[in-house]
Amino acid sequence: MKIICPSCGNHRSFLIPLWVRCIFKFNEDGTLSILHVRQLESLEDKIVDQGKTSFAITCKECGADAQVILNEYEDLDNDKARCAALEGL
Amino acid sequence: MKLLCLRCGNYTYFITDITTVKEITTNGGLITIDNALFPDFDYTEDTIRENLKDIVDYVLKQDDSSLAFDPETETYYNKHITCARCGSEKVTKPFRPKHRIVSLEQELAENREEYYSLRKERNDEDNLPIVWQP
Repeated sequence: MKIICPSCGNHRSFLIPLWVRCIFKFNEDGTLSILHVRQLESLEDKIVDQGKTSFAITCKECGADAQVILNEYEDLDNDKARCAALEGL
Repeated sequence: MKLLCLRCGNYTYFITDITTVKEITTNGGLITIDNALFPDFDYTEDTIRENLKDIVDYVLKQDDSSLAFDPETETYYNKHITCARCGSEKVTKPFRPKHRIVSLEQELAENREEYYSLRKERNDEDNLPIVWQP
């Protein structure tokens, strides 16, 4: 699997938005304190759903939507299969 | 007391769902998830604190608008914040009896003397006698 930014070519750092459940309390002085934070979403689902929702993975450098390539060898496999089919004919 | 659970009376501990941002780093086929760090601040922590503050302020400001009606139980529930003790969604601002309803005209009339003295203070400030000079 590969994640790349089509705009700037960055392939290292990306930002992913996530829903979290936060338990907090009101202090006596009116301020808020966070007691616990729990992730609500599966990261795998988020990566697979990239491009299908607007809640997407973005490039940390330029902010553009990232591109997730789940199987980078897919095209290579297809080419091999085509060659094998032609050879068979 | 800012928010109150109508079921258990809790006014301290609550739960809400908010969004945050994490950083994905890819290195040699490995993917690691961590806080999004920029040179001068932690973006993940910052978004959690800011979004929590935003949602609480929104609920406190909107009050009625943050409540939704449930036709089955015929009660109102909070769309954004739930009680952390009993899990109930019946969280509202505590009820306060309204102050006496006074028309603006009447209120202005009641406060007229105070206003005059305030204005006098401001006018007199520029005309104070000079009692000492260096």
